Amino acid sequence: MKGLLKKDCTLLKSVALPIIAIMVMLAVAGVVEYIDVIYTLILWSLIIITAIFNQDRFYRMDEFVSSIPDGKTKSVKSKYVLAVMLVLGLSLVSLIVAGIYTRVHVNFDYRFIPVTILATMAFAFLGFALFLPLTYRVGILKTSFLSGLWSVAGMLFLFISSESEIIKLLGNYTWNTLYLSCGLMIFASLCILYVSYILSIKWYLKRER
Amino acid sequence: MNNIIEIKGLSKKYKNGFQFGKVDLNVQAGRILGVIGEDGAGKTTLFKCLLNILHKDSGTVNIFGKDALEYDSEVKEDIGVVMDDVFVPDVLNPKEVDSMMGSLYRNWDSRVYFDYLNKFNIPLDKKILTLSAGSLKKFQIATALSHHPKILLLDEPTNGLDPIVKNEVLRIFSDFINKDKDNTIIVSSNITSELESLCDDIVLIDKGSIVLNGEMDDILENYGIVSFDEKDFDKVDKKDYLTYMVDNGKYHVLVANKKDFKKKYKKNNIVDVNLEELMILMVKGVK
Repeated sequence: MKGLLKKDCTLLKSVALPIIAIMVMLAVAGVVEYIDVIYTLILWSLIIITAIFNQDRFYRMDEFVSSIPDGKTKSVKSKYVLAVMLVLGLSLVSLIVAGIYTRVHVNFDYRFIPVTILATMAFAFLGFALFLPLTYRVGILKTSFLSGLWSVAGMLFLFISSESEIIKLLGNYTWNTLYLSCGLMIFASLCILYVSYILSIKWYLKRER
Repeated sequence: MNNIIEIKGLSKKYKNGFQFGKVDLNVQAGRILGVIGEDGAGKTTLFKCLLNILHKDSGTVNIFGKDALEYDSEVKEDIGVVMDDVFVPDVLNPKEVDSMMGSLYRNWDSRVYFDYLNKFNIPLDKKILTLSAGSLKKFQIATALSHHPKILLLDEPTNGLDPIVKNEVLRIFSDFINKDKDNTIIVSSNITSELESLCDDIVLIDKGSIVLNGEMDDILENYGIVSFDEKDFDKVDKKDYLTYMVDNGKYHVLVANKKDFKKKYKKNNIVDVNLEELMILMVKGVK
């Protein structure tokens, strides 16, 4: 699995430059509008995985992984590990953005930060839990559309949502309730991600080019 | 001799209607089996079914005495593959490939791998996409050999190689066979002259079926071509030849047993057949 993960990371390097450029722009924008940007940043993880799947398709990796011992299982595992790494990595970026944001906007309640980051992480895991098995079932060509739709939804959210309204909405709950909800969301999303991993392996083993 | 690969009733139907099989084939350990046939005849399908890249519709494939599907992972540890469209992404460099393959194969041997790269003059830090066609092929062969496989599956392994490199590569295959009495090679190629000198056995696939299977020496010794004019050809019993082709009014007939044919028809102009002529007559000849 490690070998295929290294391969994915190398492929990531080759597609990363435009993605990083957009992420930096978003991070800069995040200093102005914090919550929307965290949401959108994490959505980018799905776009990155889509790019890697497309590279795999281009290099006919399906056939290569089928020719090595346990190749398909290792390939699925590497994609899930990469997905989790991306979500954690982008969450770290979000945390840095949040740090800068609280410095710029002194009135901002820093207790929102873990809530927003955990909630968006849970949504990102759910996104992968849906996207990855579907990709192994029907192929990346068909699911690229789904990830496109997902990111368009994210961008729309960025434009139409109002940070103050979200903060007002969250403000109706106690901090303890919010933290507990977020913890449960993360736990549930990780459970669903695990089930989707099992499904992905099952479907990928059945699938042929 | 024991069979290292046993294929029984293997079949695969494609969505476009192409039917491969049902195929029965045994490959003996320690031998080099050549697979020939037109493009699209089913050679690559055979290879991909052996590796479970394609899912067979029926039949069984046993490799090392084990069901290739059930023991997929175990079996693949001992198979080295050189196929054009089955390889690592070309944005990687040989060093990265070493680190990747090291975690994919239990028996990956970095020392052997780097020895081959050194021998083939393949730069370690350059991306695979910068390698010439010949170097790429050598790189694929080095990768296939570096996890100490017992079976080599080679699809057009000498395509695009210059004569010097080709000779070097063929020598590596001979070394592989001589290294262990059970080491086996299955090789497909369109360069039939090369297979004639390399292979112990030969299989000809036509339209998804095996139409010829035997020892190379026996086939080349017994098969022959006899030429007739139309009048004499009409006197030949259909049972005594395999196929014929008409060229400039002459009938060129492929016979499976030169001696018997010569005895029966008192013909002295039976000429030896080479693999290319045999393939053309078997595939394109009239039965």
